Amino acid sequence: MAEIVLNHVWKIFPTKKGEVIAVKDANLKIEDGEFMVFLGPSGCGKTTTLRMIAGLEDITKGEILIDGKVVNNLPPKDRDIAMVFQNYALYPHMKVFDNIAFGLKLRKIPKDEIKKRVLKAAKMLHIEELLDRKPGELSGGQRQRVALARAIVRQPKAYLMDEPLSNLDAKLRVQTRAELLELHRQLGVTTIYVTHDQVEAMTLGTRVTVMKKGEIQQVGTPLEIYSIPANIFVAGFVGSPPMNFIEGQLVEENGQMWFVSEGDIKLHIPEDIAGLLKQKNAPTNIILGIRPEDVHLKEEYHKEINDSWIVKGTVKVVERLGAETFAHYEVGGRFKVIGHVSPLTLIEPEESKELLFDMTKSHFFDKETEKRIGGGLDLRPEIYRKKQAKAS
Amino acid sequence: MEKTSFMKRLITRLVLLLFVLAILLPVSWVVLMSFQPTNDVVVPSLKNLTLKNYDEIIFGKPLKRPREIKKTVTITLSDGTVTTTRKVVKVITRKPSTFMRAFWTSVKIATLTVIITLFVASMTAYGFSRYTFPGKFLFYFYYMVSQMFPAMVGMIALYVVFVKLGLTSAKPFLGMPKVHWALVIAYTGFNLPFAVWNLRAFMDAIPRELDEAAMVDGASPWTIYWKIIVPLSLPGLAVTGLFAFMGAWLEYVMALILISSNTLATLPLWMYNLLYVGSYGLNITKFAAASVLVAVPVTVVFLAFQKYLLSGLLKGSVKG
Repeated sequence: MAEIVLNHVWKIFPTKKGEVIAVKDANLKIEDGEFMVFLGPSGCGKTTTLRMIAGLEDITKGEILIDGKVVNNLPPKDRDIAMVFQNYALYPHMKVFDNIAFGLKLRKIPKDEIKKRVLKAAKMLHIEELLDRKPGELSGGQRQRVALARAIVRQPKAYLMDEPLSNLDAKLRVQTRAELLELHRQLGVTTIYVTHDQVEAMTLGTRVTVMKKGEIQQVGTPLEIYSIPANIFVAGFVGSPPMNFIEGQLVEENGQMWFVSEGDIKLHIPEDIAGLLKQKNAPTNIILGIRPEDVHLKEEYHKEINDSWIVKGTVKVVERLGAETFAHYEVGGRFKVIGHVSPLTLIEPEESKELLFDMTKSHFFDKETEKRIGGGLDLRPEIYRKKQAKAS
Repeated sequence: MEKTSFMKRLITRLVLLLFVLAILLPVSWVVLMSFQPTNDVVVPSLKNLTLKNYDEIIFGKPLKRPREIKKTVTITLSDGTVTTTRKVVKVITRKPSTFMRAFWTSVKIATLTVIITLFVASMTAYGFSRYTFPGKFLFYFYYMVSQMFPAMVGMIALYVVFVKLGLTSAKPFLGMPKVHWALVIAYTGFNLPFAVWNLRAFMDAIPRELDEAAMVDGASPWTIYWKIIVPLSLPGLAVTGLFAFMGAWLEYVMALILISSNTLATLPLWMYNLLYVGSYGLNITKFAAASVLVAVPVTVVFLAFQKYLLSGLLKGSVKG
């Protein structure tokens, strides 16, 4: 088990046309036993960061420490980590047993011990009956398990997983995800997990690191990332459907603060949030963010209705998922807004509806820098703090 | 409609048959000739087939009068007197076979060529496939360009180098005449460009993630080469090895330049001698038998590796 620290880590790939910065000044501390997820779109540098930790990629600048020891110049074999690859990378010419035992054999562990450990790992992943087969004879899910068994059998300091579930079908992915969680709970080994799937990140991670274009955007517990996203990118990337954004201005009238935008959009900002915005010197030009589950149909809203939170919208698309329905609206003439609708409500495209924005859960971002200024959930840390305490 | 399609098929088959005959006829002619009892036929018959030609090539030609080898033996009689007598120890009925000597010479040279070619080429291809180093492109380019010149171009230069190195002598080195080592070196050199090119195409097709998985598992570059890359390149190694074997097995010109004595001859040289230095003129049936014997090892190797060769040639064609 180990703590992994990244200190001002850079990765620059020289190309014919100049340089490509794959990772830019990454600073991160991954605690012992933590399940850390690197989340971001493709090309954001998450895999490169993982490969630098594994030792498969040189570090251009900065240093990486595993258990307090700088490992910059250590080859992968001396870092005592195990890796699970996206395409599993099983040795096709070896039987499953030999695939799992390969690393142990190289470390000159006695045969009896190897057998014992391989069987134990195989049992944990329910692949005992596959040990005599070759990888070519296995299904995708089985290969995935063999790859996991190969990693856990070594009892390394840390597991590095590079999108290990992305080649599985949807059902198997959900099942394996749960098993991964269980495995981490049993073994308690530091794990770094790379994914572009925010659902995986939310469900698996003790903490999540969101990356974009080589830069770390935010590090936090899944709920922290979801509740108080550090910028527009994180807010839009985490959550499905994504957060709605409306450009507009902050206006003060009679001591009350309002959010105003095109097409008669005028929303009252609750006083505590207004206070926070003032305290942070919020600029006039601002972006309002609101999650689909906080956009309600007025006719469905059962709590007390605040008339200053109503926006008129036209239904464009209706997505029925069974347990829930999402409606896509156009508001203010040009903004697309997705809202949550009860699955039993009849709603059809081109209908005009009155929407209620729950402004207590609004988010505000600076239009210039796209950074978070504040929002309703900043004032209610108990929502995510509890989970955080439990997680660590 | 059906009739034309039948005609079409018939014509296709006739054309194919023509091709098959064009390939099989000369081969069958040689095989049949090798079983003919007399030397003065051109159209072989199926009557009176005999193994005489093979027998003579492998075990030597029978002598008209068997030669006895006698030795002087000293005998002590029971009364103590010592006397000497001549005793026949061996009867020689055949001339010694020079074929088998040439055959083993070629087997040794070709096998060594294959082993050294595969070892050197697979390591080189591994380097080209997996590492970046200064001058990589130039080295590879050099390899490929050298393949574009006929082997003859370098032969005289090679000869001079071998003479200077003393590699043209018949003195043994590691159990084989030095000049045969010279041939092994030359053949390995001729084979390397193709071998490296072919193996590199193979290794490029092996996912790098396997190397990386092995690295993380604790493998050194040598272990990765030996335990991962080589086993996965087996079809490529089989194709490359077969070509190297055939190249060395049938090579004539370099052997002719380097070898001056009949006792050192390789198979192609021996065959040449059989054709034109025969004491009774052109010995066509014997030559046919020798041709069949020369083709046997290549055929055996081919059949043995057929499984690998098919996938190997296909893979190479897709990738390379």
